[in-house]
Amino acid sequence: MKWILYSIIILGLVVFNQTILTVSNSGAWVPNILMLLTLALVVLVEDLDFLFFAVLGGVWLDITTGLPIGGTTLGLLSLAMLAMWLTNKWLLAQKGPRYFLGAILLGTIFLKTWIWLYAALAQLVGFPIEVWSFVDNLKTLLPQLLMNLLFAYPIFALVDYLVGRMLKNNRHQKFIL
Amino acid sequence: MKFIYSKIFFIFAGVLLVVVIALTLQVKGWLQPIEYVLLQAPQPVIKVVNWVVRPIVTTTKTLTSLKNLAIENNNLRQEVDELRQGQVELDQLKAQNEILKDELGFVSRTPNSLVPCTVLSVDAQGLTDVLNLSCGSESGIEAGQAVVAQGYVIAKIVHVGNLTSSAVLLTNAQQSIDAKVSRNNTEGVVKGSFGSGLIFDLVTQSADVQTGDLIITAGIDPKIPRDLLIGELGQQLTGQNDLFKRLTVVSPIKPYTVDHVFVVKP
Repeated sequence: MKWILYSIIILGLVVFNQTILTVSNSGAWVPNILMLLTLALVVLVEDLDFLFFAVLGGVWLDITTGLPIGGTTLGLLSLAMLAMWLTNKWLLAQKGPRYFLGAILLGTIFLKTWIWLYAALAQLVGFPIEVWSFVDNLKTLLPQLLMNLLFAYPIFALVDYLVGRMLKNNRHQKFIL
Repeated sequence: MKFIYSKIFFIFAGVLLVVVIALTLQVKGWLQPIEYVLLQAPQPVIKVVNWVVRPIVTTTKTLTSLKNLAIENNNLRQEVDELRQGQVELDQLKAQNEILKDELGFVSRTPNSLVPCTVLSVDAQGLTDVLNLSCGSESGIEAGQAVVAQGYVIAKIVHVGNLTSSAVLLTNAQQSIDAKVSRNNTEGVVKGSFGSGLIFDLVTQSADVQTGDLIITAGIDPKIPRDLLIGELGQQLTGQNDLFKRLTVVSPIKPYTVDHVFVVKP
């Protein structure tokens, strides 16, 4: 049940990217919802559920945006691993949502730099991509950072709600059995 | 326990290996069937959402630009009158041209063949500026060919697979296409500009170019036929002391909302 729900969320994310975000023609003012979802899962779920989002969602977005496979996928995976390590080391999850905002701030910078570097490397090995300049990358950083911070709370609340519902359902099923 | 012996490290290393293999397959073009499935799978939902979202966005944009509509309407009426006058002159010239061609025994140029394609996905962030198209080498598409929407060139094919192909928008900062002014054949290069659309560049200072001139392909690149419409000249960006003239090029096409395009085979 959980994996079906996750798959539907990822499909919804791809559809959101290809409809509302493209029709609104917002340019750089686009939130990275997949990153927000992955980080929220790292903070809220102790299991490795974020891997599913990072890999399936990452590969899907890489293909639809014309990036080499691994651009979003490996960036998200590394970011999530790092976030998980920090969360376990300093128990950041218990210290309040401002650490989640901090993770988003650092995550956005990390992911944008990673995707740019990865695309440049992929071009060197023959992947057909027109790599944008680092200056252009920086130009899009601030708008995306602001959008990510704006969407952070709604995404965090949504994941929190869904995780709560799933736990409740699991307890209910165990009780019936 | 050391990190390299942990479960999480093994998972990370496993995924890394899978991604490297997938990237290799993608570069070699062997991942096409999976890419095709992932691009086609959300299409039914995308169509339904667009059916709902697009009228809302269009209505909102119309409402916000309502006060400019009257001015725009007047300008368009004036432009239509001028174009009608121009059309009459062109019809006369065409008729004369046909007569002269017949007399000189010229062979008519074969029209370009167009391959219709559906846009499967667009880069919403505007970094890669990629359009994934539903047609590939099986339809005769080749890298370097022009992609046209509603009569305007909007992109160039960069990668062709069996079933799909990728095109990069002309507005991408790394893209360029040889072009000329349709009125007097003044040549230059149309380049993409990050966040500012298209620019007609490398035009000599003495060249006669005016706002409103139509920009068409020059036909120097053998994969892109000449005389395809790119856009209309806008404002000048350079001063008298610059080596070359640079002007903006305005295209009425919004590439992020295009559903169907044609690839032009020369």
